Amino acid sequence: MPAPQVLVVSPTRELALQTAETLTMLCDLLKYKAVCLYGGMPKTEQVRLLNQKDLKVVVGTPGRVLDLLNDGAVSFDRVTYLVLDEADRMLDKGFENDIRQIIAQTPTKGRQTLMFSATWPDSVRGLAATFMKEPVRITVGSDELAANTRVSQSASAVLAPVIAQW
Amino acid sequence: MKEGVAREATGRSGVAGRTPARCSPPARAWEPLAWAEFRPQQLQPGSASRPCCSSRRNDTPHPPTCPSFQTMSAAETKPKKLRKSKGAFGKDGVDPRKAAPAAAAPDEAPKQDKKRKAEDDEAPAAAGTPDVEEAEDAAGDDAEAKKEKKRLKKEKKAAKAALAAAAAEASAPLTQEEVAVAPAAAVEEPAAKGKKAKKDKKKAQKTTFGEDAAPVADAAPASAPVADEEPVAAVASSSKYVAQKTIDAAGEAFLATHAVTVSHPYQPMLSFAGLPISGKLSPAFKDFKEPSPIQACSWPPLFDGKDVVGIAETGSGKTLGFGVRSGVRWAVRPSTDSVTPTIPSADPRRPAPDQHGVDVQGVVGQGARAPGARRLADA
Repeated sequence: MPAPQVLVVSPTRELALQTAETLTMLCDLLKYKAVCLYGGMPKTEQVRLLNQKDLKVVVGTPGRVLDLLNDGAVSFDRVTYLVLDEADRMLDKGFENDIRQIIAQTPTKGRQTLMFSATWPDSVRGLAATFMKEPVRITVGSDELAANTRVSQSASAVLAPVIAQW
Repeated sequence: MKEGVAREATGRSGVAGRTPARCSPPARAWEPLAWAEFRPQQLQPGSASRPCCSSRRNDTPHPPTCPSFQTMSAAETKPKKLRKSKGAFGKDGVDPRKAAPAAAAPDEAPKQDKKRKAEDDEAPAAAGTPDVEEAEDAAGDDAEAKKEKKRLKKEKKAAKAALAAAAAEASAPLTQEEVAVAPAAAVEEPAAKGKKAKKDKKKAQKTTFGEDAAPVADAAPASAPVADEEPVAAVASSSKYVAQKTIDAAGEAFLATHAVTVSHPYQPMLSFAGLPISGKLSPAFKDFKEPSPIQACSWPPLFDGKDVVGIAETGSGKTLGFGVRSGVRWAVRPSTDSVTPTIPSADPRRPAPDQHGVDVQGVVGQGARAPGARRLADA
């Protein structure tokens, strides 16, 4: 059974493909293989890619990754490097249980875990507290969720003139 | 349900005594609605100018004063209300912390950390997965580490005098950590440290996240293997990457410019040159002048074997950031894959026939074709 050493979980197919592209570029330099697993595609092709020689890296969306994991098409017993990309978005999309199930299939010892997130809400903190060991936290910019300053917002009350017609 | 009833009452009261089938302009211009029940989309200017119900169309909204108003609006507003109430419970409707299974026992953490450290040394016995390639890499990386170590040692010696001043700051927590900075930076260090310590303290008070409470204390045992007194012989077997756990002036400036906050004082990696990785990966950086903030700050702890939480927007270069670290786990050392010629020959284009009498002809570009063609014809 294929047993990759690097697992990257992404919230969307687009992000997964983008990440896979970068990692494939790096893998090519080292003569290793990376595969991207996502929904909306037949599983058979992905299973074939998983069984390539020298497969080291798996990138995927939580649903399909868990699906193939449950099918026994892949094993995460040897994952030593786990990346949760855009963790806040994954939680927003309701992938929390899937993520937890996937992480539970990876070894606890010897695993280096990374988490990336655009925001730092309680839900993401909870996930980090469960699966990470004394993580080093790096914040670029502010970790407070702020409104985008480039969008101007306005509100106006419009009911008085409408009702005056009655 | 309650809302529907309330609206019905309001609607009837507005047109008391009139036939429900047709509505004419009411006596009063404006029947006050309870504010909470007002829905702007029900008061469209187009429908307001037209006598309601005359067109007999189901899709035109009834004004609030029309007796038919509640039948339509109730159906219209219900799904909206449902959606709203869902939002009120939070985006996914559950408190993830409550749902969190206790997967990591806290008392196990230090032990695991130690174990991980051992594995990062990539001693094949300690690694949970004996991998021949990885062992090979370890040898190569150790050699690299040795070199790096030596360099650091030299710098350290030179900086020692300057560091005497820094030692005065012994009460500041950061001084326990490995100090390996260029002399120029060392002079400015006390100030930077003081600032950093203050920052850390502030953060510890502010945040509720457990690990932040004692970031510096945690870092101290981790830095033990790279202490000054370590004999050179032990260097080869120690961690292949020596993270600098103090931030010098340049690092502080970098953090300030990019508005980066870090929980542990790792010196940011300000150039790609410091990356302890195989040279084969270098083409990956050819398009970039210098590491992005998230890369510069995440690499030192990553190569130190730490877990990392990065709070940054998409497109900040984090994929390459974590990708490079993932690559180093199995990166083959450059020297092993270079091809070594086995047939000694004075003329590389005309190697001597091998022991089996096989004549090998070299045909190379960048020159006239004729000699090559002749050699081929002769063979």
